[in-house]
Amino acid sequence: MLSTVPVFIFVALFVFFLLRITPGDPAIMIAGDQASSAQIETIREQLGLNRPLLDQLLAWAGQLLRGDLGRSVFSDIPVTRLIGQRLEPTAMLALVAIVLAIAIALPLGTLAAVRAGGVADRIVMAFAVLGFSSPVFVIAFLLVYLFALTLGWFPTQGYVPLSQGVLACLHSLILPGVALALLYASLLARVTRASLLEVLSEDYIRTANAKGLTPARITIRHALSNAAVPIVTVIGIGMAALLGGVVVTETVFNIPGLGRLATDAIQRRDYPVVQGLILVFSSVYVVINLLVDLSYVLFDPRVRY
Amino acid sequence: MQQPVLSVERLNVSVQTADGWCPIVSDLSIEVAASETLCLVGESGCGKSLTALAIMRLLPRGARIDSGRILLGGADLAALDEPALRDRRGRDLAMIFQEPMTSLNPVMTIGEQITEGVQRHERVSSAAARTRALELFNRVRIPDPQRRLAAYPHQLSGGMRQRVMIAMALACRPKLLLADEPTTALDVTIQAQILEMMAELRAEIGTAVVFITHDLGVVAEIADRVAVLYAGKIVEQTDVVSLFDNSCHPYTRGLMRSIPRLSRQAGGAVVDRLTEIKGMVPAPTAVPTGCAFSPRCASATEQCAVEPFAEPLAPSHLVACWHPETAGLAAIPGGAR
Repeated sequence: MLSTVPVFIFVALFVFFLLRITPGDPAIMIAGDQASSAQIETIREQLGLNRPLLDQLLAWAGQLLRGDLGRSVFSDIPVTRLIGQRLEPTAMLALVAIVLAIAIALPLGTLAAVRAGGVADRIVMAFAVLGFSSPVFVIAFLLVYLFALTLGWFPTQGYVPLSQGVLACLHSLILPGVALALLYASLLARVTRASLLEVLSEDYIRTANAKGLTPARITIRHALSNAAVPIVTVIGIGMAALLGGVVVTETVFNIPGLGRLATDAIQRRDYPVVQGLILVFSSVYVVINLLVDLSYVLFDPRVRY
Repeated sequence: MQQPVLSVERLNVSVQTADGWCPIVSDLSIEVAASETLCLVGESGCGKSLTALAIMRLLPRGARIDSGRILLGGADLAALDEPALRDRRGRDLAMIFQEPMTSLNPVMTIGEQITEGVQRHERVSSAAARTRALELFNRVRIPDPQRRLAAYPHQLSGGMRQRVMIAMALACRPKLLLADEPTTALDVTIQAQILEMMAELRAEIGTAVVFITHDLGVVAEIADRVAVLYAGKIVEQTDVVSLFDNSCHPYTRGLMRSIPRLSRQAGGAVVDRLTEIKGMVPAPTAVPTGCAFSPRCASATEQCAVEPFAEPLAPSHLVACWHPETAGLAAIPGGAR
């Protein structure tokens, strides 16, 4: 748990040096080919690149501790505000995708484990391989073609903010949510099946059978609760994959979230924004992992912190 | 003998191997009456545990009952389907396993693991099930039962866990209790306490007990009758006193001679040299035809190539041997202890 702090420090240093170790003059890179030397000088001034490296590092650290991520070179808006504006669509998309993935993967993975070697198991595992090996954008375009263009059930693109109603918002997120969830659900279904299969061969499952308990109770209360630790771990790890998928999904569905902000910032070489986003994404990842570690206490009474 | 609670008739169990189904238990027949303890004795791999699991109908994948009847409370367990079996397991028959460390669910409180069985078979409130669990904990002498209900298995010692397993098995006062080496994994002192407690509870509840062990010391302690298994067949079945005083099958006598005993000589107690049974237990895939023990038997003749039937040498003393040693072996002083 204490490892969280050094990880944060390392990420901050990485982000700091990312700009400085880029080959060539970062100010020229940011300003672009057609920039005048005056523009380049302004950017250099703005980012403090003309000062000694140690000064820059201390200034950057001081900024970070105050929660200041600098200003966008492109729009001169503070990076924190830019990220704040784009947070809701991404958070909602990730939430919808995770809930969908868990809702799909847990029952199917459980079914596959209970019927291991049977027809249901093979079908579920075949879909898991398919889901895992199909790129998000391919699934996204197929979904759009089928459910938006052909059937017209969902919009082809765009995002309805929460302020315009929860249902409208969820409706706009179903297709991107499914596109994002399938990959994640495939991984989760496989892990659920594998950990459940292992638990089902344990002695205490035989004891539960010897008590005459029903298969439902044995599977859910006795087996799943023991398989929870690896499953929750993968839910946490999967969120990293999800953050990567968010960038692609938001681009395909034209959702104004952090992923779009990232692609735009990279195209415009808006370094402060890119740095801010890397910091935010890694913080989210670190915090999720911390929460996963802490949640073990809930699932396994043998774990103590 | 009074009306038996459990009556197993010509049970055959086989397991799947690379070369097909291989018989492990052959034509096994046993009967156990209420409040009676029958010990199944034999070396590792002789089919003791599979017999118990077959009676529970909890055989693992790759093992099956080929034929035979398992009569308990007027029903043939071998012929019941899974839902009907689930209604009986835990209520009419229960089982205690060898390994108390892994037989309890690590993420559930032991209180829940007891009450869930009670509530599965009886229409009682959770408060009533809890009271029952407390009573059971008192019976199996778990100290501080109120607090222990909320404990998890890892917070208990091996002996305490086995007491929990016993409480769990007896929660619905089953007609039959199967105990598969329940004390093997425990310290000797704890073992004695558990055996004593099981004997008390058996008398109190009137449960019939099938007790599996390879330890003749435990047999002397707890058995009323004993069935000796060799390579999946019962070679001798008798009451515990005749087994120790007057065993007739060459294999049983070999087992008796392999118990360490002290004899008093000038200068103090000396351990007699142990006599081991020559040779090895045959692999299940290579059991010899005829008497399975004949290759290791000193009294074997050509006749032993034909399988001997279990014949009564005395009332309720069955021996499957062509050359039983009826002359009467010198009594072993004090049995195994």
